[in-house]
Amino acid sequence: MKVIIVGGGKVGELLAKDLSDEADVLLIEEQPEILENLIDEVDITGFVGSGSSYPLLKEAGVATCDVFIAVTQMDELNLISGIMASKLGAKYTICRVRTPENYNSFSYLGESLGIHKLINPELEAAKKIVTELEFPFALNVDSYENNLVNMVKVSIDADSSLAGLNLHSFRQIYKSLLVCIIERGREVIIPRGDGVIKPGDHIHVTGRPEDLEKFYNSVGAKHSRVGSCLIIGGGRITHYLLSMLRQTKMKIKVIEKDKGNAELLAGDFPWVTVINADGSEKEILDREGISNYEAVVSLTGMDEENIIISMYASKSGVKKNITKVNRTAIINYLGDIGLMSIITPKRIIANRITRFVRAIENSKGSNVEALYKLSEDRVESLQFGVGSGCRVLGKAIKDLPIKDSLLIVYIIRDGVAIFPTGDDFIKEGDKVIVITTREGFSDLDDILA
Amino acid sequence: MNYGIIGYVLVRLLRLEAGLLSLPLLVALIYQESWVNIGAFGLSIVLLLLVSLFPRKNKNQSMTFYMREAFIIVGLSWILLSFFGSLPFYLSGEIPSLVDAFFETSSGFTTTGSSILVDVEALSKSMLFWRSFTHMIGGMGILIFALAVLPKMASDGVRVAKAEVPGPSFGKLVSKLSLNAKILYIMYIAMTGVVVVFLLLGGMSLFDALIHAFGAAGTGGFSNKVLSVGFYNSRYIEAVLGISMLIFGMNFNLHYIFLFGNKREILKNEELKWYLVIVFLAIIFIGLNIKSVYGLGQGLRHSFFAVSSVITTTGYATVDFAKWPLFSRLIIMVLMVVGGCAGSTSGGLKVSRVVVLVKSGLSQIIKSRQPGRVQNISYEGEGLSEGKIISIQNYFMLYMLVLTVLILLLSFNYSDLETAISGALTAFNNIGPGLGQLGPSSNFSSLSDFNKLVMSLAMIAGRLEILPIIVVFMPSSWKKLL
Repeated sequence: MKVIIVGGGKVGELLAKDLSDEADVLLIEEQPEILENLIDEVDITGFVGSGSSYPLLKEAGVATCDVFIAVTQMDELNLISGIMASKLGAKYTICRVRTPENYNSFSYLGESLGIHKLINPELEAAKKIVTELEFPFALNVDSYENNLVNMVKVSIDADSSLAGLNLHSFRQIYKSLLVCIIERGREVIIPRGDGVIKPGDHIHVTGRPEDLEKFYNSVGAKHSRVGSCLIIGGGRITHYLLSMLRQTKMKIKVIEKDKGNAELLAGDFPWVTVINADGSEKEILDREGISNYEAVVSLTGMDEENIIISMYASKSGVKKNITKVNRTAIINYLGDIGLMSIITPKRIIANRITRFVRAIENSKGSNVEALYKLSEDRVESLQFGVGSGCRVLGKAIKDLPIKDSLLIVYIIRDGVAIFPTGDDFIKEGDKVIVITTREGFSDLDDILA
Repeated sequence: MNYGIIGYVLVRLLRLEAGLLSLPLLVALIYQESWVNIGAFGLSIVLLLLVSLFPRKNKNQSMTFYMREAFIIVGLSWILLSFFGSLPFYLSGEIPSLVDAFFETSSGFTTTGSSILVDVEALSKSMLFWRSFTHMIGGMGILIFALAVLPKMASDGVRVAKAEVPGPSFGKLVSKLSLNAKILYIMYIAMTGVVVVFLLLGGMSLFDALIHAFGAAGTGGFSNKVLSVGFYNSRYIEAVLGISMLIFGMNFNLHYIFLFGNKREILKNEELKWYLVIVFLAIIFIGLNIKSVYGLGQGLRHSFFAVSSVITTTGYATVDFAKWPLFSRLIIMVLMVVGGCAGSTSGGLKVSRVVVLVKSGLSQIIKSRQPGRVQNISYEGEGLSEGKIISIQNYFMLYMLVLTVLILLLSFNYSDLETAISGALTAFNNIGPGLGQLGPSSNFSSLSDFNKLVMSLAMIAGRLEILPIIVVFMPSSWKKLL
């Protein structure tokens, strides 16, 4: 499998790291130093030059590549190189497009020009924020199979009714829910039936959205959905986020530092209160009544500012804090703070592209159809389609020699999610979702010891 | 939204009003008035104190508040003070209707001077004193007074001061707000004292001198005579009151500079220059226009007093200017809208706003003749930012809007245009008498009760420059999330 990436920025780097294990990655980057640094670090090859140069693309062997990914800073460059690559013969082209204008135009035009997938980091981040606002008390929410199944991450307080519960009893109380990951300090556990939930743990629970909502109510969260939200920073993510929240009755205020931006937002979203002020000032946050909001979303251009705003919001008693952090390096510092959900647009799209690439790579037999990275990339959630030649067919799950640190979370059969017990069978045509701390699975049979 | 602080400040203000009510109570005792009057003041004080016991201060009460709370505090406090201030009139039976009493007290606090009383002289002395004393309190602002005398209030008090002090910008004399308020009040009281002395020298009784000094100082215009200042028919008294009204219509910061600073700076003040130019031109124009009625000398005398009284929005009268020729009446209407200087005790649009509005209007001509021309509208020697100009233009728009509504409402009570328009102008600009059926020799008693309430609120809105009252009455202002 041959993957060509144009642009060695943050996303390019993440993709190179994620994909270098299973594919031959070639990176095209204009600045030699960046390329050199990456080549030293990751097992890839590279070309110095522009992604829109025809001779360069030809020389790089675009004609024979399986996936072509254009993720430079510039939309136009990504689109042009994507179109060129497609004409040269690349089987799959993925382009990063950030401005709303380009994204909307090329959602229609892209297909005819040979661009197979547009990825918009800000839009993806906004989508994620919307799910977080729908499940406010979760530290994190992911949805699978078009919202058929969600996975939420909750923190367990000492006075929580779940503290001290063993997973066997958990399963009896919440029949269709499954605890699939327990984070205890730096340790990540994929629990089997005998695990115990302890205070201070962060647990990942998965299930159907409606069951999760019931779980929420019983755990003690009063409102299942956020009613008011303060957004700090009015950039592109905010723009997408507000478009998606238009239907909800949520009361929203945006604080934006730049006057021009603030005016633009106020013009596009007249139902939103827009304040032109520096949202990183405590005085301003107090004046705008930060403690009265159910949720605070920090989306300024500065990671540190976002983190500080969220810390202050959390101290002021705001229950749901969503923080945008661009630099993945900083996230590691935040492990112990735990009071916020972190959004990293580049990580999100790198995940999406990686998942996409793996799905392409495994287009035959039982393969990875979707991949999520969880718990700061320490856990992978993989979705496999089950083909006829699979070794897991014909045996009950409890009789399968499944590797440890691995859990079959659910099976999707005829559009319905099943949370299997040991007596269930995997059938042909199913989709199986597996969670593991191991890496590099590309086939369902890999789960067998 | 900090409801706690709103309650806290209001309670302290009500206690302050209870204290201030002890002065007319004293007057009632000195003049040995009937027990009804003494009881009316006493009961009002007790009621105020009882109400002020209600919201207890929470120990953890956050003392910080923002512009919204400041607007609500200022708007509500003026409404509440007017209501409680009207109780003595109502309880004593001297003004039998509560609505009338509320109108009279709002008119007093806002230094309007419009009255619903047909015969002022029938009122007892203590009631007359309280009626005029409200001018004194309202002139400089009750919250400024509170800032001066109550400690602790000053932390975010500057927002309150901004909401209460008239004029497009709020300038401080000294950096400490509470000291600033003290200086303002000391100057205010001292200047009033000087006016009292001058009036006594003119042969007025002490009581009359106090009443008229209060009226001039607050630029209110309540008199204890039906004929107002015309009763005395004395050139000296007219000169004293006319000049003192003009002085109280100037920015108090200028008085401070005059007393303690570099006197030359006053001459550089653009607003003062325009104020004096307008006053001078108006006196000449009206004087010439009414020459045929009174002769030139008498014409200028009456013209001077009327112009001084109307531009400072006081509303004292020596003659019934409602009977003057149309040209003079129209000039008087224009003066009503212009009003005095920012930072004074007068009402109206304020000279500074009018100057900026005219300048920005004229600049449009230059701009349209020569597109692309960069123009800086300068005021007080400095270029004004676009934002400032727009905020003044917006204020003017709001002003016109409210005025239109008021004129429409008054049209239900009056049949002629002049009365309706001048009635709205006089209430909204805190002047006192209007024209037509509302001239200096008549009163507002013919208004319907509903319109009396509306006009009371209009007077308060005019005194506080519209925004606080509108904010108080907007339901969304009271929500937790704004």
